[in-house]
Amino acid sequence: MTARAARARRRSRAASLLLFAWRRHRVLFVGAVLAIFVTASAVFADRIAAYSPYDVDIANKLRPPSTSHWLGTDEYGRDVLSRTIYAARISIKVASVAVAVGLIGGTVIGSVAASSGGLVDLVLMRLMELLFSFPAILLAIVLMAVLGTNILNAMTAIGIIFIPGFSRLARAATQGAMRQQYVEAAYAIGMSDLRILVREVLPNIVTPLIVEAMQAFAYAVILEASLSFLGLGAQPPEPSWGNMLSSGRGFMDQAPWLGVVPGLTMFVGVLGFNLLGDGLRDLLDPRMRLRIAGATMAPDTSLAPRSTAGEGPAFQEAESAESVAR
Amino acid sequence: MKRLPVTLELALLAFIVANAVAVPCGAIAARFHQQRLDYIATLMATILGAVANFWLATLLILIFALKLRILPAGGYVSIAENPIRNLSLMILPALSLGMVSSALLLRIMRAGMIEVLVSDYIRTAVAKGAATSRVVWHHALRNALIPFLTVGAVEFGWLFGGVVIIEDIFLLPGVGQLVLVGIINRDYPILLASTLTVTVVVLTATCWSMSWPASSIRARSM
Repeated sequence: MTARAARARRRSRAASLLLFAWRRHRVLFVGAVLAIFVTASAVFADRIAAYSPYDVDIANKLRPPSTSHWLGTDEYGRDVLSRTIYAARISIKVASVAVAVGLIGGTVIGSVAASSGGLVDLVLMRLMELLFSFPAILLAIVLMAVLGTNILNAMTAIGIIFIPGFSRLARAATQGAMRQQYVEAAYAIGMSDLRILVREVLPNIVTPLIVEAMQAFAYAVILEASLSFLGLGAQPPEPSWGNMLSSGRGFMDQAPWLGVVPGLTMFVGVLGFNLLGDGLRDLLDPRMRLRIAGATMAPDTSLAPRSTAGEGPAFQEAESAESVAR
Repeated sequence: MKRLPVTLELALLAFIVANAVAVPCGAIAARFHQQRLDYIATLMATILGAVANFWLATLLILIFALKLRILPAGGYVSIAENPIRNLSLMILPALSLGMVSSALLLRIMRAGMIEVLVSDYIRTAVAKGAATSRVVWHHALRNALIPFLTVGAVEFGWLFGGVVIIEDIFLLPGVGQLVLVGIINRDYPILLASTLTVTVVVLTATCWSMSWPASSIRARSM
């Protein structure tokens, strides 16, 4: 009886927490639900998928959605739903490693540049700008051409693309943190540069980096799919949303689901991670939220006694949207 | 260099599509901030921001070329040879590239407009009795376009970079397709030349946006 009451209490507490999250942080909530949905399907793909993604069944090729194959079959009779679920695994894996490479590389370069200053800063940041000047997809394609076409190289190429964005963000955040009094105090008590960077600065710059990592994650999913679409990422028969769309293109007249299902799943995943990033930014960076709220407090063209010239929300929005995920 | 006009045309048309969607939608969203139209525009930007351009291209081919059969699925005819055929071949690629790019531009336009609509000179204009539509479209829009133009120029460069997949899907003989040909044939001089061409255009657009005389425009229009 007591155990049942405790369970009921726990359930009601979880429900009220979910309700609170939905009311207060709607964007974050929707993003988290979608992102968890896609990530869970990737992690538990072998338990969820009814068929193996590699099982060829020529007798049942290009079959429309039915009870046995919910989302139809492809040109080799493989189950589209199962392949779509397994493809999430590749995307999540590539995006996780690529973002980790970009985040770690960018944070190290950015924080070292900011704390060293002078020539080191100049050289490192000019190098980053050099990388930044190439369009992301083009750089990824060229890197894949040089490195060779496989998943590991796709992770590396996408990770390298993210390094300049993260390094610029880390540099700016480190510069801000280095001016704070707690860093001066750390210097005063004789802490070494490295210790200050790791113990004092890093924990204080992690918030914007996490927010950007989420948005970079969504972009990494698109980049991986783009590379696979061009035949430079995951190689058939390994399922990837990109190569599924690419191979399905030739059969769209007879089997339109081949051009819809993988893209729709990718869209849900990217939307989830984008919203999660936006929601986290609102949650973790209240200054941004307040600035926008402040600027928009007045109804349409009304006359709030407030001027947000200069670094207003438009600049913030542009900065945040462009910083990493290009 | 023979392929550059194809890519430039595609990027330019996509840029026009992106602006045609972003400017009015962003301005209307800001004008009706936190009302139904704003939510619709924001939702549209969120959805477009999550769509991969090659998937949108696939969907557009499926709908307009395979189902409705009103537009061709791919190919290229020079604008000098047959302008109407050229345009009909370019509509779907331009929409695929432009619609996806409009997501970022819409958000920037909306945020810029919201920022401007609470500034003192707008309040003055309203106090002087100017009509709301004049205040929004004449006074506010000009200043709201400043951050938009800066990002827009960079976006043009990035559009140019994003043509590789779209040119491949729609069989357009542009620089992007040349990049792929270079990779498939392991023809590194071709790959290098085509990549450098794209990068030069991207850098030109970026430099142009950085040298944009934002402050003087702001000063002039105030």
